[in-house]
Amino acid sequence: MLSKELVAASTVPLVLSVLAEGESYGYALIQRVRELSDGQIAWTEGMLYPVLHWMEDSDLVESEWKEADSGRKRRYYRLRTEGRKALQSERQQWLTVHTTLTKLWKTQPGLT
Amino acid sequence: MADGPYNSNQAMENATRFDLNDALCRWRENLATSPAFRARDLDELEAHLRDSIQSLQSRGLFAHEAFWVAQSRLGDSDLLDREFEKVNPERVWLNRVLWMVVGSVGIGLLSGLATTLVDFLTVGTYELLPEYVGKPNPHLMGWFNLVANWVLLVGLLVWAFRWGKRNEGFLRRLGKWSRERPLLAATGVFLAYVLTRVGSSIPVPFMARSLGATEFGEFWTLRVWWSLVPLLVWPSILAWLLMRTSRKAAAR
Repeated sequence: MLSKELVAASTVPLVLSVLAEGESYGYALIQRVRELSDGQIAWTEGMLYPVLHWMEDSDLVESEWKEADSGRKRRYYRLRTEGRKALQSERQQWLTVHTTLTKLWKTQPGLT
Repeated sequence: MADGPYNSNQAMENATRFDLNDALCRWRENLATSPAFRARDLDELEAHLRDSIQSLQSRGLFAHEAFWVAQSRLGDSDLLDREFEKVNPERVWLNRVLWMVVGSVGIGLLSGLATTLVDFLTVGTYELLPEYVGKPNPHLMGWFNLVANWVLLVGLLVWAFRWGKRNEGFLRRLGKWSRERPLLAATGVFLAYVLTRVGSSIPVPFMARSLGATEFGEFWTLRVWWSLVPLLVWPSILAWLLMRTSRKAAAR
């Protein structure tokens, strides 16, 4: 399980990355992240919506209410140009951390 | 939000006659009393809850179990309230200002009520029992009037505070109602205020008559001067309450 701080830091890049696959709505976003992380990243689901709204206010994403075939209405989010730029920057930063840690851990075989 | 819309004991009792739409409706109404959520936020959360319930039901859970699990995965109302407050701060602040106005008008109302009651009592004493009270003494009358007024006001405020704590749910619904009809709510508060102000001026000519012009002048001067004391006391009480609340909040 991720620590609280890491959950908070990784929510935006995760959302941006899932939305890069195509538009989606809150519930599906959460399912996608849970599935990809094998249940290791399980958000308190309601916390995602204020984050999505903040991202919309910051022009990273835009949203639209759409009716599904079942007749149920859902609010779909999709990436905007700003969001794609933000994703690039996040990607750079996370990869930097990831590469550095990987290199360090490779030279320390006793760690595992 | 002390009373959740739902709990597990209820779930067990209602297992056979659980109405999902009814439960969702109550869940939504409970959240709607908070200013942190806009209607479209609630639409979105409700859509989420319905998706989540449907998925859980398809895995074999009963409706009431699915509702309970989905609701707890979504997060409790206090948590949602705090998180949504961060993205809708202007609504929450507007609500706070609203309650501040209601609070200060409420104190004005109670103070007007206390003044009216005590003034009528003062006049009544002189009008009905002149032989026991003797010649009107403006100082005695002024002090009696002031002290009785303060005691009554403090009593009324304590009562109003306790009543408010007991009826928090009602106040939340009232807040929601006023936020939806701001003009009507403001008119209501204004009218109530005017009414008590008018009411509290009714006993004044009667007092003037029973005291005589000179004595009434002395009485009134005393009263006006000493009425300034509460003006100093109120801000001190408010400042103390504010400090206490913020210290509590910081400790949490």
